[in-house]
Amino acid sequence: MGVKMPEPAKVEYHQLYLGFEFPPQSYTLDISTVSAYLEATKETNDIYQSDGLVPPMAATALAMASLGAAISMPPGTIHVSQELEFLNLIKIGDTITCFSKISRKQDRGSLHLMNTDIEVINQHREKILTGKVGFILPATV
Amino acid sequence: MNAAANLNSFEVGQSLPEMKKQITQEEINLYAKASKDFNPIHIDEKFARNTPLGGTVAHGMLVLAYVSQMMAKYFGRVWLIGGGLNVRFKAPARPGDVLSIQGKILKIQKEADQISIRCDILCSNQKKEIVISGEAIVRIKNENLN
Repeated sequence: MGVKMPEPAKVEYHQLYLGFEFPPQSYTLDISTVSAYLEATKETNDIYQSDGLVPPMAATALAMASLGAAISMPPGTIHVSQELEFLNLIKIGDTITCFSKISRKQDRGSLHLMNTDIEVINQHREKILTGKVGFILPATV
Repeated sequence: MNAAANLNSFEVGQSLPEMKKQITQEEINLYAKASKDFNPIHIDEKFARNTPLGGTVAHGMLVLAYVSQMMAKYFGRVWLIGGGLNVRFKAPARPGDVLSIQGKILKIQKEADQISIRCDILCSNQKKEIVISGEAIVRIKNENLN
């Protein structure tokens, strides 16, 4: 996968705060990256096979990867919810940059609730998707 | 249905064609590589056996990708530029599970420059346990309507 930037050091839960922004991560959606995604998801829709388009969930997966690389998630962390909005077509060869920031951090008994907003833009600085990821973490961290 | 959508073909209460997907460990491993998510709960059977989950589970985003596939298959390109999902992950999907992904049109709203189609989304396994539930919305600009 065409990673453009080095992965950041992982941030621990207790270091996070509302509005905390993670370092952006960029990826180039070359044909091998997209083919690997299509094979893994058994995606056979003609709009990807013949039109050079990329499933928006492939870009979402990379946005999630950038988040996973940035946060130290303890064992027992659960990905509980996901919101997404697809805003622009993504094409093979596009370079996307994923931004994420903490939009909720709440301690509830033995659990931590955490939401992260994500935004992905292409090389033309067009917004291609936005979303919100919900996690529950065990309160051992 | 593809580049453009025909408004007359959508009705409230209409079911989207159901999709069935069998989850295998091989696909989970492929998805780990494609998504760069190598959390051992997905790919390390020995590690996963000793967790409360008792075995490996598929990435939630892999299962959600199937939901998006169903939507793209039905709505075509308009899903890629006006689709939205709001879901909760209710239960893990495990290797060997056969998932049923279903959708139903809940509401069609005409606005000045677009229509919005809201769908109920349900993904369940062979035991009828809900894996993902929630809503999808497709916003179709007037210029993309037949």
